[in-house]
Amino acid sequence: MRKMMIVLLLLAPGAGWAQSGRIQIDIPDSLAARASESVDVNLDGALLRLAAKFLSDNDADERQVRDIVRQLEGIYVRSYEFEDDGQYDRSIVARLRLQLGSDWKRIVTVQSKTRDNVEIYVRPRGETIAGLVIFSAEPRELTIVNIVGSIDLDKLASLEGQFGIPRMGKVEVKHE
Amino acid sequence: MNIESELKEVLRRTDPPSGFGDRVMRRVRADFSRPAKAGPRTRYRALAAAALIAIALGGWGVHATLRARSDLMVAMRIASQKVAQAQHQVNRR
Repeated sequence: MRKMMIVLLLLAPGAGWAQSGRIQIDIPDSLAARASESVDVNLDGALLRLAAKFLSDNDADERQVRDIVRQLEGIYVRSYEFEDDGQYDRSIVARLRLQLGSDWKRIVTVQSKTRDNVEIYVRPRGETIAGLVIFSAEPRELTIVNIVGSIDLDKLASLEGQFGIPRMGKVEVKHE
Repeated sequence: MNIESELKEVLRRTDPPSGFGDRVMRRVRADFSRPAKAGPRTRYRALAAAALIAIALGGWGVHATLRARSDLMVAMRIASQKVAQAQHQVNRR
C-alpha cells in the first residue's frame, strides 16, 4: 500500500501535465552525450509568443509557422541521432507512453522491425486538439515531440516540403 | 617669570567648555550623513557603467529572441517531417 502511494505521488505531476496536453519528457543526459546530433527545444508561453513575433511576414514558410504557432501554448522536442544502431534504450518510449491517460487517443501507428516506428497521439478538446505527442523510434534516431495547444495536423504536415526539405512524395521510400 | 613657570602656565590642563563634546559629535554625524558630492568624472563613470549594462542586457535579449526563433523553426521542421512521414507511410500501405 505504501509503495503504491509513493508510485502515485511520483506519477502525479506527470499526470497533471498530461491533462493539459503536456507530457514530461524525462530523458537522461547521457543519451545526448552518446548521440552524434541532438536537439532539445523547450518553448512555452511567453518565449513561444516572442519567437513567433520575430518570424518574417515576407517569408511564406515563416508566415505559415506563425499562423500555426498562434494557437499553441508550448512546443517541446527531443531528437537524437546516433552513428550506429541500438544506441538507445527503446523502453524510453514505453515509459513516456505511460503518462498518456485514457483521454489521449492514438491516431497513427507505423510499425516496422527494421525501419522507423511512429506513434502519434492527440488529446481531443471538443472539436479541437489540446495536445499532440509524436514518438518516432528509428534504428539510429529517436524523436519525441510534444505540442501543447490547438493544432491542425494537416497544416503541420503541409510545412514539410518547405524549409528546403523535399516532400516525402518525391522521395523513394522502400518497404520491407 | 622664568621659562619653566611660563610653560607650566601654557600647558596647564583645563576642562573644555560645557557642551563641547556634544557639539563635536553633532558635527561628526552631520558630516557622515551628508551625501558626497559627485564630481564630473564620477558621473561619467556611472553613465558609462549604466550604458554598458543596458547594452549587455539588450544584447542578451536579442540573443535569447533569435535563439527562440531558431528553436521554433527547428521544432516545427521536425514535427512537420514526422507527421508527414507517418501520413505518407499510412497512405502507402
